[in-house]
Amino acid sequence: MTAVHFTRKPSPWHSKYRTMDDVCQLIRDFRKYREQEPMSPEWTHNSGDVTDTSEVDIVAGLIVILKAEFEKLGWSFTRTVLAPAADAFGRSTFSSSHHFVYGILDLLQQHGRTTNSGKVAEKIMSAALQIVQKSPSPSFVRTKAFEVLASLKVSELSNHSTLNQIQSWPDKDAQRKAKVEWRAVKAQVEDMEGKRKEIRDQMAQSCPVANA
Amino acid sequence: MYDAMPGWKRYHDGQVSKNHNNEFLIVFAQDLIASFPNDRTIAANIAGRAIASAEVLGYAVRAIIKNVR
Repeated sequence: MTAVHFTRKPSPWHSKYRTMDDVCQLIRDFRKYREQEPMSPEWTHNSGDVTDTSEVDIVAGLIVILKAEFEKLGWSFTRTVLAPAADAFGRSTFSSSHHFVYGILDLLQQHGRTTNSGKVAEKIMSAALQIVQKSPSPSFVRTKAFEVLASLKVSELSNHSTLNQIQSWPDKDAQRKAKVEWRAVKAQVEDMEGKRKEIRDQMAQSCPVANA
Repeated sequence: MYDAMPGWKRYHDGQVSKNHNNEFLIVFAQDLIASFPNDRTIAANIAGRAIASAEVLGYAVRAIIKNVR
């Protein structure tokens, strides 16, 4: 057997990210099971509330980590960086910390796509809107935050909130750029969702038992 | 697969329009593979588990034989 020589170690945030991913996946699996088996005797009278509260707390925890990591990039949550020099940040080489921020946004996107919880959607939307406002344009982090917003189940509300947020910015040129970016990302996400649905439907037709 | 990753990375870097989801996916896949135990540690783990299992099973088998007698 040939030994594989690993030339690089995993990113310093990898273990933390895996744990975050596992916890989110666990909550989604639990929620799905509860929806599929609502009459199961395993549930107590308050188990639904406990699941909902846990989900809100877990998402809130992810957002705390996201904000802390975002601050490390030099794009502060406490001050706006919609400055002319922001483009230079956006085009800089991605560091490992950038990838971690991107990964957390991806976790929020995966979660927001399926959740029916208004509180969870509200928290994700608020965090993504802050990232949109505080990150430079063009930047992959801002694009990802737009993706998170476009993927939310409450798409009408997220569209309305995103446009409202953009319109509140003082810089008209930044507003114009952000609106173009938002529409492009939204169209891309909708297109992707359509393709995913098409594939799911095809799978359900070709293999109805497995997808039951 | 791990050895193929730099090729994927080069292909991604050569694209004019970058898909950052792909970039993150490559980083994550590399991390995921690099965080697996390598074949030597797998061999050591398997050997350790086999010894532990043999001890437990040996004890259980001896106990069963004793009871049958």
